[in-house]
Amino acid sequence: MQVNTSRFGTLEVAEKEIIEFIHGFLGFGRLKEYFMVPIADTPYFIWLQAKEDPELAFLLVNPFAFFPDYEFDLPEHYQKELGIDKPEDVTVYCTLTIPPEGVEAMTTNLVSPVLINPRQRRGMQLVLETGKYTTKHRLFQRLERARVAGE
Amino acid sequence: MLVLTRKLNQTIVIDDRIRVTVLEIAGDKIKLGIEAPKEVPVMRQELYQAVEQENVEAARLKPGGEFQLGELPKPKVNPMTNHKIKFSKKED
Repeated sequence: MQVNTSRFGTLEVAEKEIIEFIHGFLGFGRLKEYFMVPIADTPYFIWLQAKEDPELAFLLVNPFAFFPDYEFDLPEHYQKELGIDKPEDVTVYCTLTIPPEGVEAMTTNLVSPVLINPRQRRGMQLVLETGKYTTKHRLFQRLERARVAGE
Repeated sequence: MLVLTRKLNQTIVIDDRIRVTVLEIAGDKIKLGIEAPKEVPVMRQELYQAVEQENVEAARLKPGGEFQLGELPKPKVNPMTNHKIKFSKKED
């Protein structure tokens, strides 16, 4: 099928590429169907584009690449909803925002990881009630620290 | 809005399956116990709003606008070795 997007133009998307987000995203609950748009040269970032809204796409990051200690529990009923029975079956991403200060101030939301079961094409955005993480963790700061620690 | 007055240890029942009990009252803080089916998400409104706001902000990002894709940070960690999700089997 042809899908119009405001960022990537018109894309040819196969039915089997559509991921169903059972509960949608908070603020966009109506939209359930998304697909991934890879970014050249980086496996750590990916776009998630809504099928029914050309304007709606999230830039996602693999949180473990920047926050190696990131962890959370996935309750059993969510495992069932996603159709997964081991952690390896699920791909984890987090959304990104860039404040007016610029790209160096980019943050990611570790409170609400985006979980995707790539095999069954089901996804959901979890909200962690643990109080351990915030909606704004800086990526570049982490990178600087990692570089210093590595030297 | 429906307004109900409750005392310590009193409960309200919502839809036959959700129970909210006043567990503790101390100054301007009230501790509530919520019993709900596990598929009913329960969270503090501030958190709900923070996530909603963050999603709305995230959806505004456009390549070539605020940033170029080439500016994205490059991590040194191989994330495939860093899965730290725990699968809870028991739920309270």
